[in-house]
Amino acid sequence: MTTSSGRYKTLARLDPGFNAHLDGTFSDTHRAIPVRSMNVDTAREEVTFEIVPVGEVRRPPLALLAWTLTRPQSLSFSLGPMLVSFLYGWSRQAQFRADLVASAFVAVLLFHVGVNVLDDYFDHRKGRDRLNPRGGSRAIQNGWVRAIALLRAGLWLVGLAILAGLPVVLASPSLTPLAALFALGCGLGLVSPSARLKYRGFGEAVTFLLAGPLLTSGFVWATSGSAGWDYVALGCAFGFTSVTYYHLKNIENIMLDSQANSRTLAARLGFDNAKRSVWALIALSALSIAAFGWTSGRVLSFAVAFVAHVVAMVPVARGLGRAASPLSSDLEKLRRRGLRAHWATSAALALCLLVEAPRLAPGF
Amino acid sequence: MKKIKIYDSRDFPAYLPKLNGLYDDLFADGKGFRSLLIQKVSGPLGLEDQIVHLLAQTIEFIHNASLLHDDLVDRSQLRRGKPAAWAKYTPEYAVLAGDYLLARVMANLSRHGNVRLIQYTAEVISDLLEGEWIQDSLVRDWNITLEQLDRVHNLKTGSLFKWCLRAPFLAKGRYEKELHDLLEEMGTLLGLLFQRSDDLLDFDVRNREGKAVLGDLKSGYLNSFGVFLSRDMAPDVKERFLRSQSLGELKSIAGEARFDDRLAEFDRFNSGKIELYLHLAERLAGFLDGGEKALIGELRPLPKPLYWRAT
Repeated sequence: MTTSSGRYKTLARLDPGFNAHLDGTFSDTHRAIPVRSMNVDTAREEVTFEIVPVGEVRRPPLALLAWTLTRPQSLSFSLGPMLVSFLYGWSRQAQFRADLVASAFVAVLLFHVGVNVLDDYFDHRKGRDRLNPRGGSRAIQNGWVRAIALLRAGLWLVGLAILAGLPVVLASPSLTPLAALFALGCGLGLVSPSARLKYRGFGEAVTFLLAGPLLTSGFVWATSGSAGWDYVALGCAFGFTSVTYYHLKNIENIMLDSQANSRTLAARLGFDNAKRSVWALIALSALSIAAFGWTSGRVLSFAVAFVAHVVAMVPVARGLGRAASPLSSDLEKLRRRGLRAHWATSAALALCLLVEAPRLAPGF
Repeated sequence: MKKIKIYDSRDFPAYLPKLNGLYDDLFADGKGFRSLLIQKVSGPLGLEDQIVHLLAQTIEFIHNASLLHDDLVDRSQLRRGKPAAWAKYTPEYAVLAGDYLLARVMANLSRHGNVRLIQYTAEVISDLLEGEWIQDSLVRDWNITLEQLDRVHNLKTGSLFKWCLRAPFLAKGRYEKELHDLLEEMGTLLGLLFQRSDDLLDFDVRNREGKAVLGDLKSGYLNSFGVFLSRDMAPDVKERFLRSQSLGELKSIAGEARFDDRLAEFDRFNSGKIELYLHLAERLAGFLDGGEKALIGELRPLPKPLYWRAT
């Protein structure tokens, strides 16, 4: 049953025009901006839209809009592991092919951005962003873009990523296609409306693999043919750091996730234990960095990276310990600090390898 | 619409010392808005007087139980201009008296026998307690956002308004999910408007009942208008703002013009919520038959006096 009055229009999931309003294709002159709900069930089954003339929407400049949609600040999770494993491999005289390195970098970054955009779209379709006023880019909720535009952009980006990555897949007919398929499956599984791995208890494991050992060892294998447990160990350090950030994000959303029966690690542990477990994740990532430094002989450089990581992350864990409420205003700040810590760790590792490389790899 | 007698001392054991005295004080001066809302919803649905009385008593018992506990948690000395129950009697009696009201609710509803109504009431009591718990965890969080506060208020305040709208339908045997989802959204909006209006009283805005000002701020709690007013404030100004001891001092720190501008913006923002509520009331008509449609006429006028505090 559709109801229209004044500026508002309510449609149930089975009403004709529901999908058109949700996707923004119902009109060229108006935007249907979903109204926020605080009730988990209603956000899923019916939606009230505020119908706003396009001319009334105050859109930010295109560059800022693109920045908001693509969330480049999150690219540390893919850029960091690839860059560091490349520098490490190069210092060990791995035989990288320049064309494949470029192809892999472009493919992974495009894929990452595409998943960010698709995540926004599917969270909007599922109603999650109507419940969580801080979730996603808010581009649809502010009327800046139609949802269908995000879906198209996301699919284009993933398509371009697959094209960009083809040279890599074709050059290594053994394990690379399987790894690429796995990564594609997991990445899309995180955002797809039916799989939604992140809400079924697999988010942490998938994040660890995709932003950790699968990325580091997969990248080096695909672009140079080199392999080794040292790349896996390096990946573990990145994996744990990425999971720490992911976990901080889930702590911030713990109330909503618990009410919606989303089985994130934070929701299963509960607020108090989820906060304590951040210490364990920091310890795991720090120990991974130290262990990798020890086994690879890069003691000094990885000691610097170890210290940088600990210095960046310990205040986050301590701040989290002081957060008294699942709605505390500190949680968002701490999550952002967790993201900056990932950048800091990646930068410290990359810098250390660059400084050490001329000594270890003549002609570097 | 006659005022329903919520409390009768004959319903409670006379051998418990001070219990009836405590309840006499508690139920003497309340406005009974929630029981009035029950009557407004129940009338067009054609519920029997006995059921209406049960529902009205249930919601007022739950609400007043929460007040007994709330005053103790906040250490508020006064309630409706008189000493709070915990201050006049003892904290222990205030807690137990609140618990006893909730127990009576369950006993009375069980006797009535509508299992869905009992289940929903239990969930609402849980939501209420959850809201209290979360609110207590946010004391002295001066950077809280309006969205986060709304989630607390939806549990604490909104849950009772939602119950007032949904319970009569449940009592009548109307269980359609779409209907109850819609009533949930309407109840959320009523609760939000009521809470935001109450928060404005703390800043002496439309304070016809003469409620003490800045009580929330002094208790370590930034309410919805406080959040709105202090948004984008420079850190040093905000620090002084939070330490204000009087409304005059607060306005001089925040700036009179800023106060007035933000109040106008807050009112516009909440007028949008009233418009949304009226839209949902129109939608509700599609779920009602015959004489039930008179319910729309009862519900439409509610939000304006609730928010603007006009009689």
